[in-house]
Amino acid sequence: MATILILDDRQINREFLVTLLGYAGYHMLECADGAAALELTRAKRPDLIICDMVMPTMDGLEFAKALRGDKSIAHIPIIIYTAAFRTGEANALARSCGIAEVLTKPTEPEVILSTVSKVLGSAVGAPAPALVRDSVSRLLKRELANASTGRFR
Amino acid sequence: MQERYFYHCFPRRGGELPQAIEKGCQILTTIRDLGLVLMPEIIEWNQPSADGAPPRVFPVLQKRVCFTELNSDELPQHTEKFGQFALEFDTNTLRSLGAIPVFYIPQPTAKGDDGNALGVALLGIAMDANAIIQRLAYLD
Repeated sequence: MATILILDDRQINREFLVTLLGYAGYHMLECADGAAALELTRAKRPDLIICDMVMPTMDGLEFAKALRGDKSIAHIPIIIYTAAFRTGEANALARSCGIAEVLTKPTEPEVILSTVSKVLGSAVGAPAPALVRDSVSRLLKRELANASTGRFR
Repeated sequence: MQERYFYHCFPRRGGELPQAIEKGCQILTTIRDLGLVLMPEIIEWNQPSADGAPPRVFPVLQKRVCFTELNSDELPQHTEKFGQFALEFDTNTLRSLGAIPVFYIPQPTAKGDDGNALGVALLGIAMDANAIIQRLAYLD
């Protein structure tokens, strides 16, 4: 399963994406600032980076440029996940730095999942092993199976 | 008496019908692929201060999946607001899986000088306690 690095200075934003994408079975890494994220990227080689635009010390633009400037990690795709009022800047960054996609906060979870899947070029993975969720998932599959027998409402 | 079930309806903010159907199908695809997950959502709370100072703003990551107990006759009216896609579950099954009644916290008014501010004040205290416990766990 792919590894995804979340770069955002706000912990709750990282927690949101780690929770959501964790459900899809991705291996999640997180960082609060660009310099540390570059080090982590060199060490762990994630398959995708989801990056905020506005951050202290190193913003999304600087981070993307630094990444593209290092041949060993320059190939890693980046998704920008940024506040709505920064969309214009984010799109400009996307054009200049080869950003794969720009998502605007807040984005519906389904859109985030499908965008990540598209960028990674892979299907959404297996669910994480959480007891309640797995149980509900099994229940849902049973209910979907019942649809063919007319029990589904 | 009609039997009652738990219903999970979506998409709540689907927009006009063609968009709602597309969004509903997207959500159904996610449910098919991932299961019915506790979807995360960032809620920003504003705790008014008593002395007129700016409110304390703190975000909370809420993880939940919602079900409503209905009989099938009540479903059409419910779906008008909460979405035309509906998944039905046995109530006892969901309860055995940990489904609990919702606990609403009232949003305080702008002035915060009424009882509605109590909920967010308690939430703030709970968040502070959680932060302390997390830091203690980190030290340990």
